[in-house]
Amino acid sequence: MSMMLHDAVADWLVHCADPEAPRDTLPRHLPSPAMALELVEQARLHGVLGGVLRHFPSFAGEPAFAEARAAALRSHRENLALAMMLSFQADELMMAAKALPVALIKGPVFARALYPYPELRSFTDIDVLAAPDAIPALGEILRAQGFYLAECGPQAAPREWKWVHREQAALMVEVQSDLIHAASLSGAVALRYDAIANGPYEPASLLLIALVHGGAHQYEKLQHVVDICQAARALAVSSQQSHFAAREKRTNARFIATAGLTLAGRIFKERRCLDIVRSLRPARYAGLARLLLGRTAVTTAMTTRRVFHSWRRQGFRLLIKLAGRN
Amino acid sequence: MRFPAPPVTGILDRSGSQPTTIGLFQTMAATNSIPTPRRGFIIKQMDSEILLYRHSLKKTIYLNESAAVVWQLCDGERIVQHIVDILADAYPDKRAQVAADVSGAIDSLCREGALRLETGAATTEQP
Repeated sequence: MSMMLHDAVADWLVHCADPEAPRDTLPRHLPSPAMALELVEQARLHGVLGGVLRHFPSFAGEPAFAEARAAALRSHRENLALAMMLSFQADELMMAAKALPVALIKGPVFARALYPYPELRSFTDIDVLAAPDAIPALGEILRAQGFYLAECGPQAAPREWKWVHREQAALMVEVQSDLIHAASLSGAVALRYDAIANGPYEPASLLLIALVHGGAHQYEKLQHVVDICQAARALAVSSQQSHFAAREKRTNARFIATAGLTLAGRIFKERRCLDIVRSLRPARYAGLARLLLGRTAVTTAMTTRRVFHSWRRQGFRLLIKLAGRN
Repeated sequence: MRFPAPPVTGILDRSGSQPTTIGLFQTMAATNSIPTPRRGFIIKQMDSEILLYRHSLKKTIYLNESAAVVWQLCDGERIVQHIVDILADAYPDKRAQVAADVSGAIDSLCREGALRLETGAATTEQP
């Protein structure tokens, strides 16, 4: 974890992470080659390295930045190799499970559906949201495809099953009956398969998944916020917006949706996010969430300065619980 | 491209996601053999580098810039000597090095299962 994050690095991190930011308006200060190494490391930790490689202008042939670019390429190559392997495994799994009430979520789906270039969205596992009845049958399919059950939790009432491939430990599938695993958030918000069953890959579902996932992790990675921003941009038509509102209601996710969209709208100056917030009914504690979480809390999450903002995250988590009770 | 930098391939290790580098190359492909890409590989181009993925083996092979050029010249029709000649024409002062590197890269790709070597109708490489 880096010691600190220079302002210029944070500016470039945000600029490069946004796949659709206007490239004619650049951050004012260009980082030094040494700071570019910090940018690469932060981008790797925040899951936005593909964006930095593509959008950081000094990587286009400036010799002074060759070391940072080489470091970025090394990590990006590993990300791509893993993504390629996971994507094929995910397709094979979903083909075998097509009769079951299960849906692929997050990584490979977001990469293909929300990003202009899939390599901009890295991921490290395959996530599957499954109806509870489908979990034993899905387990049989996974076993037949070479996986073994490595872990499941929480112990009292499992909601997540981690499967690892016998021959390739980098291949991991997380089967979930609820996108919210943490027992402490249980009851406050839930995203189960039935909430998205009518269209798991529709923009409305993708936005809801991005919001609940990011909120549950208190946006500790900038990637969570980029997912939300891209999903909001993809929610183009009003019919999709009403589907989103219906699903948000069903999952008790209005607070998390309002907070996540507001955060993404502020960080990436994306009006579409704020328009969607305005279309939702007001959420209690949304103003407090806005005070707690902003750009700095997100961009410093992978530095030692994280400790200065951890109370903000804890406060946000508490608000999720409070909002869920109302 | 900085040919003839040694062509190096890497694999995605079965125990994790770190590509590992495999070394250069004890045996040399016969110069009259025909390196032919095996089926079942997915090819992903990254600038001038290439990732090859074979799902049935759960294996990813990384080709650096030089190895990627050699791979692209392996079309199932050219013999090894022809590939060496093409690259040696581009780097005339490094002919001996090019020949060694091309053979090395082809051997390495054969070992990884990405290429098979054919001599006329006969196949000289493992099934």
